[in-house]
Amino acid sequence: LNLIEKTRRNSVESPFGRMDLYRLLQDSKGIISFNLYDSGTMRQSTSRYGFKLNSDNKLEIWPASNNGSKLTIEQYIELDPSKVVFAGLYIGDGAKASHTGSASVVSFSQRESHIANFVRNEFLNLFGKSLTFTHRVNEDALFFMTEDMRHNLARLREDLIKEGLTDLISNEELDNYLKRDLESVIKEQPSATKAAVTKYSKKKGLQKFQKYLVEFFAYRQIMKIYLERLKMKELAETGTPLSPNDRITANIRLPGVKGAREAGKSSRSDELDVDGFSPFHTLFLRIISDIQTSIEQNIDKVCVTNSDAPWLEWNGKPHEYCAFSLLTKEYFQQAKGCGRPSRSKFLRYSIKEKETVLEFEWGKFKFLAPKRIKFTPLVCLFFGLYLAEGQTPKKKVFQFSTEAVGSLNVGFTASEPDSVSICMMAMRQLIIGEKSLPEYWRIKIGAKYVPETVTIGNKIGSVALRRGEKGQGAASGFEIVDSLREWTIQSMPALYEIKSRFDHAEYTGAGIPRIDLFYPKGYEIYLFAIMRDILTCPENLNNYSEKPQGAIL
Amino acid sequence: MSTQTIRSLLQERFDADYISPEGLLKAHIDYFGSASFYSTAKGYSKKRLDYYVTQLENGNHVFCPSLFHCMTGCLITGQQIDKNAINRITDYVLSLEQEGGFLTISRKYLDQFPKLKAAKVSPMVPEVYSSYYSFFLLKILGTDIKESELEKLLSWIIAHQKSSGAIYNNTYSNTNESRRFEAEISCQTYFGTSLISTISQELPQFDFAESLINAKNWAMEKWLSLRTITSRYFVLKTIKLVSPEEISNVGFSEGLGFLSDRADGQGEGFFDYRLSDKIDEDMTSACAIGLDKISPHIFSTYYGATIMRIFWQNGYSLTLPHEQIKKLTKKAANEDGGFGMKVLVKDFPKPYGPISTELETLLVLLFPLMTKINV
Repeated sequence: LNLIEKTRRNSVESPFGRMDLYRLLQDSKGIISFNLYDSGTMRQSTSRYGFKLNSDNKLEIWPASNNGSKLTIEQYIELDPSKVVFAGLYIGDGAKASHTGSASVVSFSQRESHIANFVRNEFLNLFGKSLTFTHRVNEDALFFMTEDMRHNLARLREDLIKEGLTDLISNEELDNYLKRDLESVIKEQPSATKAAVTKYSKKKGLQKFQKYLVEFFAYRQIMKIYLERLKMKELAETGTPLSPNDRITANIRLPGVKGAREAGKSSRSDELDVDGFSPFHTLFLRIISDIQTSIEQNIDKVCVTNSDAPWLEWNGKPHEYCAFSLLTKEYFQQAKGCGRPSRSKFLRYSIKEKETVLEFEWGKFKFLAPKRIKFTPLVCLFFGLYLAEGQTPKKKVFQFSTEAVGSLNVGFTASEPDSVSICMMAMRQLIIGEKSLPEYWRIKIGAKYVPETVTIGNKIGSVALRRGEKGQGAASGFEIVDSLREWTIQSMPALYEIKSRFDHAEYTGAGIPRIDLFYPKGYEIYLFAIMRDILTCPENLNNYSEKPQGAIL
Repeated sequence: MSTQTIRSLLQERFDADYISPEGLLKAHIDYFGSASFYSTAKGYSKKRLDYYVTQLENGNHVFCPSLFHCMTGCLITGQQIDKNAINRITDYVLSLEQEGGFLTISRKYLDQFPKLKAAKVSPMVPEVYSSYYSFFLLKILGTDIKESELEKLLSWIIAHQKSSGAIYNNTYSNTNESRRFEAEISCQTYFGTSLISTISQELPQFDFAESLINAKNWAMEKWLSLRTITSRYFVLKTIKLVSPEEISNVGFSEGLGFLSDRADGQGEGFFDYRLSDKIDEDMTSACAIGLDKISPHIFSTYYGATIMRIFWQNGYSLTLPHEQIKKLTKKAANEDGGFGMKVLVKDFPKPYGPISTELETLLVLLFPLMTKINV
């Protein structure tokens, strides 16, 4: 009961079920494996753990090969909406690769600070307050190669000198450095940097950026500090200050290497590393993958092979069990932030009751919604996946109610059949009728998988064609497009229902073959308000919710 | 049906000497040691053709390459095609004519893609490859193509030859030549050259030598830069078609080294490309390929062996990879009677695209003919 109370205080109320980690370890004899299909790859790993259950129900876990890394956690972990959203977020944006014989990192890749903070807090809720984190920012040096950024760097340099940063060269030395030839600058770099620059020089696409290299080396340290301070500011703005043991570190890549295509363009990515957590990578991924699989397959009990006792148990079927339900009309008519600002007033949906459902209207767009939105594990997992894989720029999800953020849209990107299936099933619970289905969908193929795609054409005797001077447009050579559509539907059976809504295939810069689902306009705020409140303002949801524990849809 | 057309088509497109269906069956028994590949491939071609004819009868749409390959498979195995089917296919192919060239499938196909259909520039345009298949389909079906229609097609092809010498339609696919896929541009240039060469024989009043030479010069220039067997094959075929005496200039040793680099280590034919050939298009740098999969294919093995055959015909002493062909064919025989290897992408469980194809099944039928060079 204490645990439940604690969970309720910390996040959206009413747990979904619980995980018994002691049972998982005991029934597995400490040998934990996971299989997670991700980005076209079956991620799998097995690790052996030692474990001990203390009299206070605290579970000590350590890798069998190294009892120096010890994790002490509760035996029972309550599953609540926040943890399920967290699982969805990690499935979408977390590091899942495992490397046999070497450490696999537990790291979450997300620039948007509210999401990163939410994930950080959920890690703490799951594995204890002693965890520490490193926030890593990676950026392309081209980002700094504009007059505005040069001005910002110069000002920061002055500030740093005033602050007493002693290893900065003088202004005169800096001027002289910038006049030096590239060769002499590279000569004095460490051997790893020299090797990187040699490799860099050989890449045809990067040669046009070589003119920035001297400037890059002259300002690299300042660029790094600039980004670290920016990150610190962004985190502070979300209201969650760093704990004393958290670190921020920035890494600036050679101009163009990270992917920026021209001066001033950003190619930033942010990572949240859980420090020292690598030994528990397998255990963590097992938890995450079993949460996803049981929800996708609507299984309420997950047992270790040859055991009858579940280690993960939902309170009911994950598609049906409802932790609480949101009073839809009241929430969207009254709750803070459930609309968009205009010049003179705050705009909300116009909502009409229509027998058993609600008709939402926003301008010319209409859709039907349930009178009570049921918070099932399925819906919560979808929210997490959407916040990771949705096409909406993430900052818009957190700013739409307070700022003019431009157009909003609902779209979902996936390469995994489970993600597509979860998205389509959850949308059916959130939106009623035809509009719960995507309006259309497309296939995207990264440049790396062009040879395989061209091979399809060679097998048929067709050719791969594409639109756009650089080949960035829709594919033709319809024999191949047809084959791709069939392959996608076979690989992601949930798409069968919307087979006729396939729009086109296109070749794109990077990534494995994947799909984009595009949803009808109108329900952006409806979805984003709930997602935002789960992460940043659960009390907003609690104020408009009913709590029929165990209510079934 | 025109035996003469099939004979010249097999010789030119597939480097195979036409013989009677009985002769082909015997060649199979001699080469593979049994008639089983012949029988299954023959059955597959007919089954597919019947399916496509039914599709057409039901008002559905069929891709031209599929019709062309299974029809050719049926004809060389001596299968009776009823007149109704021939008329149905002929009418369908004639309906694909647009601006002088041919679409690859009926315009109505685009009805299922509303956004593409509404696009300013329609993707449903005649392409060189589809015009090739349509033209030769009509020829092998014995359609009498009027001189004015031939002139129209020829003019259309010539109009799509670029200053580089390459031949492709950039009305919809306006991708810069440097970024077009090498298999596409080399295949379409060969198909275009073949159309010009064939049609100009029927229209002797026109002189298209310059177009052919431009295409050949493009092919000569491209040869060394190409990374896939398919693209080298089509480029070599273009050179052979226009100026066979220049084949020796491509460099036989380099060409065989190129093939050797793409030979399957298990002795099962040729890969079309090496995984290490995969590059990031923008950065021109190598890709991470640790999780990628690759397989030898019937088409790449046929094309690789054809390149060797052409080298041999031009005086280079070599032995064709007969054992590799036999091993691969056995491995590529599928339960549906067709032939083809899977294309796999990482750990995606479903094969990427079709496994058996009409073209690869036809190539299996032709292996004993193409490889019959007495070496």
